[in-house]
Amino acid sequence: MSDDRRTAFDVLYAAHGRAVLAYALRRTTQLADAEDAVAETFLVAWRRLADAPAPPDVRLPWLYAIARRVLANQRRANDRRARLQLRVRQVPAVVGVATEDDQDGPAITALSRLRSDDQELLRLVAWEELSHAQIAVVLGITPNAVAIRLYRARARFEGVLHDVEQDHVKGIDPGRTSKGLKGRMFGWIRREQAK
Amino acid sequence: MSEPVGIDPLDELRRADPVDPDRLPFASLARLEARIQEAMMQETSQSRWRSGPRRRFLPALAGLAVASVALIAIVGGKTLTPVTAPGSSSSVGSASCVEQYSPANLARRTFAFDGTVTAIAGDSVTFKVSQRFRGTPAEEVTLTAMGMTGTTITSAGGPTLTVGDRYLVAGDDRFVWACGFTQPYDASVAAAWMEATAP
Repeated sequence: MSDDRRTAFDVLYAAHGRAVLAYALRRTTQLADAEDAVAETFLVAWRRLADAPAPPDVRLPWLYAIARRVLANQRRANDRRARLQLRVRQVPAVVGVATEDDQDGPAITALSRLRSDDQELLRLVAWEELSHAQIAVVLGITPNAVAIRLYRARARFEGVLHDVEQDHVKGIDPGRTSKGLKGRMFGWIRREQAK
Repeated sequence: MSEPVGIDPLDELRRADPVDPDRLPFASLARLEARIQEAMMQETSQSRWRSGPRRRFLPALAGLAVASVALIAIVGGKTLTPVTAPGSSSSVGSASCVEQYSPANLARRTFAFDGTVTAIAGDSVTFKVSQRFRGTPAEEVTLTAMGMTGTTITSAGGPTLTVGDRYLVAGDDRFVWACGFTQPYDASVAAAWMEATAP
């Protein structure tokens, strides 16, 4: 292991480790899955360190792009495992029990009702706070395509958000129709911080 | 091509961010650092152990790769040639573009015109319109041309727009599309655009 390579990796991890963990936490339903994804992401980054982009503002999007593929593989593996367990054991799928903690606000509920590619685009803008050029690196599309897709995704989000807020006004609880993402996240973080 | 009004719905989404990167659980970060260090050490020791024997197979693997490429290229006794739409200035695949450039997809754009760039400010580009194929009622129009002005990473499939140059320009809403939907002016392509966008 050369010292230069090791130093370059340590700098990369120190600069972006927390951001990549936050990225994974926002896209998983289990803390252990998020940690697995981040560990795998940085192992891939270590192997491909020679391919890491030189401009500092593109290094984090490069890591997000790796994490995105790792999380997609993880989801496929989890889905396969769940299907296999259902076939072998003949047990019903586990159904979450809604609690006060699991109530999501209208924005999260609206987001969960969009197509997955729209969701990812909006998360990258709103939560990772990336520029169009940086999102292009994460998604492997042109900045021009990012701008066009984002314009459309934003319009769809605005429409769904309006519907969710109308449901809320009518007394239909949006939290019951969503996956309780925000509640679970805060739950994990509180539990972990208590340790 | 109007600006959205009212509160930005993305602000509501920003406020709903479920994770604060500054308040991540310390135990989780510590576990991760330990796992990554361990995985790197394992990886390094395994690659040292493997490096000798694997080299012997490299020439064979390289030969196999060349043979595979040749087989794919001549499959069925036919030589494969890339399919390019008339007037396309792009070799970019549809995966990185919103849509693949074609006359049918051009016909679905909300605006298409022939115009000369008169000003560039960031990603905003002002065109003096010479000929309208669709939309753009004004003689001068300012549009967003993300990734095509050299201010951001230039998108593959460009072109990079330059003040004073004449282009065929198409897109939706206020966005100029790249990937062949905007390209340097050419009279024969302009005629094809006229035909493609005819009502």
